[in-house]
Amino acid sequence: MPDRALEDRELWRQALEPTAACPVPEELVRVSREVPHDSAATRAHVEGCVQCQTELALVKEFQSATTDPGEAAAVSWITAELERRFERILTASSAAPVAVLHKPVPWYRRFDRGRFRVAALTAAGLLILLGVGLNLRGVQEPELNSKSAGGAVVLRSEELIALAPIGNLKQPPAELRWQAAPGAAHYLVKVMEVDRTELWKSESTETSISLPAAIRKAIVPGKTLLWQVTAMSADRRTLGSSKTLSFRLPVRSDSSKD
Amino acid sequence: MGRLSDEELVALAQEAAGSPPVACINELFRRHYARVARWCFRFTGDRESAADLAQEIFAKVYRSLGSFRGQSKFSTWLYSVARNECVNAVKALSISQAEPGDDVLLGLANPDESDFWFAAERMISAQLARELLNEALDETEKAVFTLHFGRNFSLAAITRLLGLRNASGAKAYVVSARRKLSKLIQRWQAQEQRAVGEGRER
Repeated sequence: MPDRALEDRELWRQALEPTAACPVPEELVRVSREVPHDSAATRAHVEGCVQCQTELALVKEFQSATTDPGEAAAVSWITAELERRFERILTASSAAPVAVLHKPVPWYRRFDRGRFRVAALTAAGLLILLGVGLNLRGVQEPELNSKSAGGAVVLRSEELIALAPIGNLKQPPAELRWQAAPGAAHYLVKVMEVDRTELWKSESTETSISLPAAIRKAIVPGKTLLWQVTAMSADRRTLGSSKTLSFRLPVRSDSSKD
Repeated sequence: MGRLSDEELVALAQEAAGSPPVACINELFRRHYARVARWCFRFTGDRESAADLAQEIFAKVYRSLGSFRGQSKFSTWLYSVARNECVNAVKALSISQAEPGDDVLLGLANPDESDFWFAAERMISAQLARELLNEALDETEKAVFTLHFGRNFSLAAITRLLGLRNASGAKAYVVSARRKLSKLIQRWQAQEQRAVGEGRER
């Protein structure tokens, strides 16, 4: 009886697992919203495929679901945990398996067996000796040299961040935007061709600047443009420049989005 | 930065490959924490496991941001990552195997019917099973059946993920789906036998 039940289950597993014709969720959503000629076959497949319909229902649930009162406290706790673990998320090493539904084993318990115990104790002893040795040498902490001799602020590479436009756009941008940089009195911006030929440059004391009509006309579908912003001090010294961003209007055939 | 769309934030991070601006990633993730938290909680049923799973999903998203092509909304792509992580978790831990009540569902608490299903298993192909499912089941039954038998998701997880409000949740949909399929297969089998009989008479 259990064997039969398992075989029964195997039939349904085979019937319900995704086939080569099943599109990935991104395409599934696009096809469900549009009727382009090139996706007619995919659309026909989706309409007759239980697995694709389920996938689509799940995507919609994922994107639009609201939190029920019964789960609000848990969702709020998990959200707070994620905010607390943000640094850990960024520094997580590659593809560690997820221990779902199991309490995680504390790291120190992994050394609590067999040869690991010996190795761990030896390593701990060596670390203590090394630590004591370094402390006895009396090495002084080097002074931080955060500012230049003249006292002028120098921005680190991530302190001036150009925000928008960037990437594929739906319509020509009306303005350029960036984040305020410490110590900046005004900003120089320039828009360039992809070979860095300068098309336009201007200055602003704000963190945005409108693009003139002449430049907006130069933003045509399929053409990539670059732009960069440089922060200047009140005495017109360069404090730092943003990374160069690129943007473009997609040509009609690649402009569809879900 | 709050005025930028998700897709613009990703593009910004991609421009700075190797050292994407932390503020930009933080803003992007913050917008989706609740969505992923809710999904993971519904999948696992307890907040500690859900937090671990959600952490892994965001770590995967961070590692894979470079592969986002902007051909879909970021939230659709995020769904793909979340879905894959859940499927991997099911595979790794076989969480659906020992769920109480599954044995009842598999045999439908009726030995004769179980025998019938065994016979059906021998007769029909996966392709035919797909067609029968599509023809006989309503939308919720299809979703429950697919997630339980196709993805090995537990019935409790399916109940939460699909927001089913009835008392027995996904279990009721599996039972009703199998009743419908059983009737359909019986009818189909009778037609086949009739056709074979007519062939012999000729």
